[in-house]
Amino acid sequence: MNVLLIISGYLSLLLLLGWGSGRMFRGTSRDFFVASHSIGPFLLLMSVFGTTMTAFALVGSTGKSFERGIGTYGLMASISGLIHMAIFFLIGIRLWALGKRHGYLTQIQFFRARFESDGLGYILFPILVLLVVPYLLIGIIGAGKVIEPVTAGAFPDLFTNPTIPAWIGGIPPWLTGLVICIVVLTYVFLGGSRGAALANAFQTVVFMGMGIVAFYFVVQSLGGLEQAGKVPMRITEDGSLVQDYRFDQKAGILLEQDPPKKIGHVLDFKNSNLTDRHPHLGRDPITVEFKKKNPKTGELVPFERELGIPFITFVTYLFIPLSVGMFPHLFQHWLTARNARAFKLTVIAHPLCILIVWVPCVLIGSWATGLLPPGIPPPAVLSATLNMLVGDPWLTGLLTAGVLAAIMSSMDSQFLCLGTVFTNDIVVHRAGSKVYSDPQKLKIARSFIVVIVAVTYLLAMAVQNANVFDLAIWCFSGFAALFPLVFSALYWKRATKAGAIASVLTALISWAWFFHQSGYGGEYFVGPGIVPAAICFFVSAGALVVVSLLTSPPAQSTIDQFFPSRS
Amino acid sequence: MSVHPKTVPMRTFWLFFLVLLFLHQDIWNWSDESLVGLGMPTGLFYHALFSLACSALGVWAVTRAWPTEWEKYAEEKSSPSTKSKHIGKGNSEQ
Repeated sequence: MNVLLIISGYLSLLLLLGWGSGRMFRGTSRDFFVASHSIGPFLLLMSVFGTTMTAFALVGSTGKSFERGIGTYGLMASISGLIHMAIFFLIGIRLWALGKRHGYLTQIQFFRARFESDGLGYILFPILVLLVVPYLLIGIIGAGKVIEPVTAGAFPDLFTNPTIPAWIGGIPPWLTGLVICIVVLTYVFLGGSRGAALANAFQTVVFMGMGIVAFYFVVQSLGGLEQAGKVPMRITEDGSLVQDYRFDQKAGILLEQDPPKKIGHVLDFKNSNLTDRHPHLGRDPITVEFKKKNPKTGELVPFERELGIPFITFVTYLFIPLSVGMFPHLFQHWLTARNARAFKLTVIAHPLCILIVWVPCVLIGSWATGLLPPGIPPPAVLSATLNMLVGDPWLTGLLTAGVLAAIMSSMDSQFLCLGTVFTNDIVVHRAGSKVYSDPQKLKIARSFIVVIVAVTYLLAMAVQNANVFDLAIWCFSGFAALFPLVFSALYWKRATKAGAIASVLTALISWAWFFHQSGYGGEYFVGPGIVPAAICFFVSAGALVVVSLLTSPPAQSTIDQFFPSRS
Repeated sequence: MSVHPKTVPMRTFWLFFLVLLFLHQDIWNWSDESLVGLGMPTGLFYHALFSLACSALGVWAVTRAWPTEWEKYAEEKSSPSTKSKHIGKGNSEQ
């Protein structure tokens, strides 16, 4: 119950912050959508970082490390540090400058003007919405998975149908999702993009701080960093996977198991080099078989898992972080910057913030392989580990609030962005700017946000057991496939309207094809382990180049506007 | 006015970027499970250092290759020759 009290207190604090930022709201649509370009360096860093890090960063990274090991950090985090930093520097500043100079509020306004095409906006709008929705889904799903285990037992008579039997009485995912959607909607409605930026900054500080606190207590429980490094599951001489330790929750200490507990075995075990190895601390791909209990029948069911990461997968994953260049909500955050200098701190500190958040999560995920049953749903690994190792309800409540902070700090920007895009790029664009007053524009934006949130919430309830990490990767893959569009818009004068449309359509078709092949959101690789995003990227880039070269170049006035010449 | 980035620093930025991109593919640590700094496995410790290197490149970029020209361009008022051209009815408010 203490956990619930802390979480409720945190959500109330957010509502208070929304009320406070609502008092700073200037009442104009420009203030609602881009905070009147008033955000300084620290708020920009926190809001951009908070937006890019969601359930994916905390819940997803821990779960993925639990599945594949420490390679998860190089796979997504360190490469994101490099690619994101370069995108903020090479693309973010230029887009901010063009947006400030020409008054764009949305990404689509920029593309319409750069590619001299009204239709491009109508093609892009549904695609952007389609790709943002999975991003929202992972937030709602992730929140549900985190809250249920840490509140287990709170209402045993009320919530009698848990995800797994041990979590009976815990707050069910449908209720968690509903509550956080309402809280985020409230503070976004009250404060617009300034409210979102302030809430983002606050929540980013909370989740980074809580991450460090959580890591400290987990390390203490495991007996220090050196000892924790020995905890991950181990391969024995006969190819069995064993857990050498168990955690005594009553005594609060880590105990050695003699004999070690067998939890699975390596498939096709012929290589004696695997003996005594901890596969989660390296990256060699090893296929293993575990067993998990069917929650309904209680029967043990075998399932396979690939540990480690194939090298080709690792290399081609570098295309995934390119998605940041095309996130519509990030474009909107860039436009809130007071000046270009506000970007400096973001360019420098973003890789460091990634380091601070991801390293502890990846380590906790790999250590958890030696303590938790292998069949536990990956999104639940973080909270189950905290529950087991930290135990104290007040601390668990604070740490859970940190995880919720990471989730909500992305959802707010996405909600706001969808409302902004719909209002400006569809409704106002078609009707003309004089037709709607500012209050009417705000009403339209808010109504669209409510519709999208309702649809997303229902979808999240339908796919509650989806893997948060994999779903996020599909969302990022779609945006990454669109990256050639923004890069060419800024760096290639010869890129044309037809080339842009061809690029968007080929990106969509190739992404949809692979998404279908994956069974709509599962982990999927092409051939020896190539991520679909790499192929979608090249298909989209190829279509853009070929079609642009086959069609007439843009008008000179357009080139002058987007590529101002030397004086 | 010129909004072209300084060519030499930008080329140097791209060079550093490509070097880091190569260093990211650390196949040389692939199977190493030994624990090194702060009890971290070698592969994770290497990539933590890599993140610090990315930040260092960020420091270099904002001090040596900062696009001052774009900064000035954003703050200037639109001249008739570069006046914003919008497509469709709705954006005329901009």
